[in-house]
Amino acid sequence: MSLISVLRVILFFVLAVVVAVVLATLVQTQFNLYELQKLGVEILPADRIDSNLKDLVNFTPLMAIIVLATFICALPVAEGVARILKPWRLVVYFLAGAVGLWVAFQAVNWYAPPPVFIAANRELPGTLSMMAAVGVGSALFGRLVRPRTRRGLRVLG
Amino acid sequence: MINKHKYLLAAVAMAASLGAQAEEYQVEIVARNLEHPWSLAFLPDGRMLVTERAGRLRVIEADGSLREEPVAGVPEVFVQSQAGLFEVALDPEYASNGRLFLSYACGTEAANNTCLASAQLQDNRLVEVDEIFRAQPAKRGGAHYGGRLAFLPDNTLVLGLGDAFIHREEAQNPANHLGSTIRINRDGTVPGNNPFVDSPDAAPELYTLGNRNVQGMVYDTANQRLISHEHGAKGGDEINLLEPGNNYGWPKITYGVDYSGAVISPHTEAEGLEQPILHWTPSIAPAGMTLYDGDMFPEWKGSFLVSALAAKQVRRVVLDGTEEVAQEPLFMELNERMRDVRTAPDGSIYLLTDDPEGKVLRIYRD
Repeated sequence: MSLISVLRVILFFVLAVVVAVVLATLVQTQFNLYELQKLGVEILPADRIDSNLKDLVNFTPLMAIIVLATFICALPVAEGVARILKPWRLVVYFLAGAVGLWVAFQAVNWYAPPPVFIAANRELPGTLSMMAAVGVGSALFGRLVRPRTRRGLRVLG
Repeated sequence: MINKHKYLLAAVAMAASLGAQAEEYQVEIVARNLEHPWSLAFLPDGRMLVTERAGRLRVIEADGSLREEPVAGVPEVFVQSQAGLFEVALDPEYASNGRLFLSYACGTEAANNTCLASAQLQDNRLVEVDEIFRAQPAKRGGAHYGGRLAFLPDNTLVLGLGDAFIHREEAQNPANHLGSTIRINRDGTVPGNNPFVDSPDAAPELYTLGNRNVQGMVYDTANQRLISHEHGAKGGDEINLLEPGNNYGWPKITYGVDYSGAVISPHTEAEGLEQPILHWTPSIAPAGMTLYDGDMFPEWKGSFLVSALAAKQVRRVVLDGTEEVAQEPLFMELNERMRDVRTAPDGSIYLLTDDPEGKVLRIYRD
């Protein structure tokens, strides 16, 4: 593999991590604000924007660590499976990221003193939504690094 | 012979933040090798009772020696993470009825909460043990139990509770005990003048709600008020003036953010929700409190002394009414997580360090 190819994969990896982290962060913000709204707390658009921005600053470092750990473990597995299930490449990558995140959450919750470290994960909808967000990042990576399809006349023999 | 180990003989001179005055004190280790000591009570005969979070109640004899055998008969305690045996407090009429109170985590990992029991101490055994309160609903995990209690002038007791961490929104639900304080009679019955006793949708024991994890509670007799403190998350530790029926806002309003860094609420104040007397952001992790009324340290008389875990100190807080006048860190040179702080009958100050091999320290002045 050439240096250019390696740099290309690294660039796509970083891009996938950024997409996953940002999406997952914004998703968990909406769930936390929704829980407040259920208590009757008024969330004005300015409050929502402010909370999103604060979480993009303060929550993303933790999420980046979790996503990095998830992708380092899950993406090689996804690539291996995707080479067997070629038509399902994007689905395989999506599931690898999503399920990998779920495993990472279990590890965090096992290690951290609180029973559930990230508030949005206390309920299934929040957990599934964050898994989907990271799955999108994972699938994006799978799409960007897919093997090139050979075109044109193929001569047998 | 008094078996007390001199820990630090040299007088410690501290440049007080309140002015030019310097405090001098000495520190003794009264007891050591206690597993996360949590609470201390002074018996009239000179002995002391100290709880270990691991579920043991220990006696420190009048001569200062730690009795080897734990007190028998302690209720079954759920021990995990923050869960365990918490407060020990003597009945206001202990001299005549000999009763004491223990708060503790009860249940299983899957279903537990804070319990309160009343018992009598006979020799080295608890007898007539009676569970008088069990917080509802049972929840999973080993976090946020509150556990401190105080007695009001009418001899009812107020117990601080926690939100279990994973049920923070339930602190706004008056139908249960999560994230609240409760007031009960010493036999566990509900006083007829409790603030929510006539509300069909509220738990009758409820005294206040919107509290996160109350681990400091003192009745200020001189000012006829109940002062508490509670842990915030990352920031937002609070000292509150507890008044019946009040809502202290958690998690609708808070000055802290979640441990993950996430916003808990965009609001720090809202109509109908009480503001704290003061808040600590960043957190100091307040875990115990005494209102110093001794004579040994006259310069601290009337101050609230707050033991802090994360800040590894006792924070002296001076209030004028409900206004914060001054704060001062104490005993930082000990470099210990402080679980509890108590004023002894002789005016010395006792500290409990939060450690698997925790100590009971005595701060005194000759």
